Amino acid sequence: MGAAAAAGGTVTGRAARLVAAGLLLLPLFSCTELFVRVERDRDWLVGESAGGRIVLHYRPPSHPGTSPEAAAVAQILANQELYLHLVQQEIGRGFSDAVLIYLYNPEEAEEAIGTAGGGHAIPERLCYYYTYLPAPYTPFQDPRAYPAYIGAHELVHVVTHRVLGRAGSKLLSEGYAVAIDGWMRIIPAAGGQVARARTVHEWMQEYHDQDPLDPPRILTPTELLSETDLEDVVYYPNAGYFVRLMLQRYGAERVNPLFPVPAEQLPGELERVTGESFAAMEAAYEAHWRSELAP
Amino acid sequence: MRSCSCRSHGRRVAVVCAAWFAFAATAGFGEPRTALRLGVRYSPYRSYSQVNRDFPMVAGYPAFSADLVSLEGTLVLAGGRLTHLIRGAVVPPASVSSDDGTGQNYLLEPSLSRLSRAAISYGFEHRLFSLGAVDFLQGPLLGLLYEGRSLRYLSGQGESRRDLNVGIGPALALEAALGSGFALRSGFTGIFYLPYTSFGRLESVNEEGQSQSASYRPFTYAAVFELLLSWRPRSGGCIALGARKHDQIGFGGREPAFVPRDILASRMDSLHEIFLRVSLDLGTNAPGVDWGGANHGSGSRGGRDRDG
Repeated sequence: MGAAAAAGGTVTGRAARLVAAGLLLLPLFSCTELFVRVERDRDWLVGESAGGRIVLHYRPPSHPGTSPEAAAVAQILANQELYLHLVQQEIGRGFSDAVLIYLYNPEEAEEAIGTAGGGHAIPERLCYYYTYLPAPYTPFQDPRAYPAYIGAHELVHVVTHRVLGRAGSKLLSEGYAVAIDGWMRIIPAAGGQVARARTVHEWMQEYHDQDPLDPPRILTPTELLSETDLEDVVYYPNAGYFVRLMLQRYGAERVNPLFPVPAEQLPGELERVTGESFAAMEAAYEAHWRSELAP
Repeated sequence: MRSCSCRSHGRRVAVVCAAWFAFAATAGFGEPRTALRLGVRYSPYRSYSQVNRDFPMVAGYPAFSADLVSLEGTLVLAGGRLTHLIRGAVVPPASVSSDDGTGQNYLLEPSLSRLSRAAISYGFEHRLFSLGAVDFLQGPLLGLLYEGRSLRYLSGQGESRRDLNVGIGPALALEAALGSGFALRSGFTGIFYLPYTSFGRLESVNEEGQSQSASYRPFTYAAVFELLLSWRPRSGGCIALGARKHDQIGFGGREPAFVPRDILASRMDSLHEIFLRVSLDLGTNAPGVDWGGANHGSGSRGGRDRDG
């Protein structure tokens, strides 16, 4: 009896020690989770475009929130396949990998990907994450005529970063994306309706026509290189408008090599590639927007 | 101005770390006893994508994956209240694939994508206190990690990155003797690979064969939680079986920095590992020496049935 009690006590003591050890070390499990939480999220349906170049991951109907219906999925796949073709045309380079899209339901997008009104790209993984916006849409005929469910912006990031190299400046990274997409949308209003969707030209026209007492919102190329912390709604249309002119003026073959060049080296490299001084290019840009945006 | 400030900050960090090591490594070291540990480790490697960039970030699919097998050896030098550990490990090149979240690989050509690693570390452990049969150990670790990852996408474009990381961090462990030669150990190691002492090179080749390359300075944090069961036969030596949760996160910018800026490479790696290792006594007067300071903490505690 005594021996049994002693043995039982030993076992209990060992168990207590093990539990104590485990409790002491339990908080350490969260060491990386304080910074990064891994979500092994496998609740996806997968659709592939006719050409097999777009692989859309979307939520099944059973998933919480508003999942896309079959018609929307087909529309997105067709849009993105066409956009992929157009992006290659615009930059004059080929890209034959598949692009993976992860489309989150609007109710979960803010928490899952950090925005409920758009998305972001990870070119290394040939993918981008985006919010499904179940707004009424116009059947897709001309990619420049309507703002698609998902624009080309993130798709351009994936293709350009893979084909032209890692972007060296925000100006060219965002500039290519906005210029080739042609549209920029901001802030989805209640119900998932897109509050403002405008072409780059329309945004710039508004900035041109605004009250002259407001701070000027048409940026010079020098400002575009240095003031990269400006709010997106100002920076993005300006970068897109400027890059659009560069592509028209010099051609993609001459502008493409500038894509991976760090911002501080860009003026010098631009002069070397185009044979035109940065000051002259800035003057030409100002003349261009003053002419094009004049009432 | 900014880079001067960063260099100055980096120097201060290096000086403090060196002083910590020098002070601790020379304290309490008595007559040495040695052991050699040899081990093999299986690590399913998963490198996740950055799904949410807001803090705290969310990592997810698509993930790069590989089955890594590593060989490792550790020289254990114990004396006084300290146990010094010099460890080397190598992961031979392993094939890399991808998982989109549904188990499909849409990205990589596994036969042409490779991952390899090599690591060297030096650290020591110091027994802080004991509660019954449980010892609490702590000590710093200085680590050097090389990783090379070469990816070939299905289109033929490629991207490779190689980085050499030097870092420092704390190690903590609890060891409990279970009797009959068995011991249980749970430990935590955190290593900060600093951007001022780490270097990386990124190279990419597009489908047309045009290449780009850039240098980056990685700043990553590795957290390793380990649970290990060991057994020491009466004949000497020690055999141990364990599992580890090994996460490494961070980024590499064009310039060394502790805040993300101009990022060229990011890392959200998670490995759940199992390992087996054997300890061989090398002229020791403390049979069963494997890892922990508890074995050697004092004359009255010497030779306990521990492994670590």
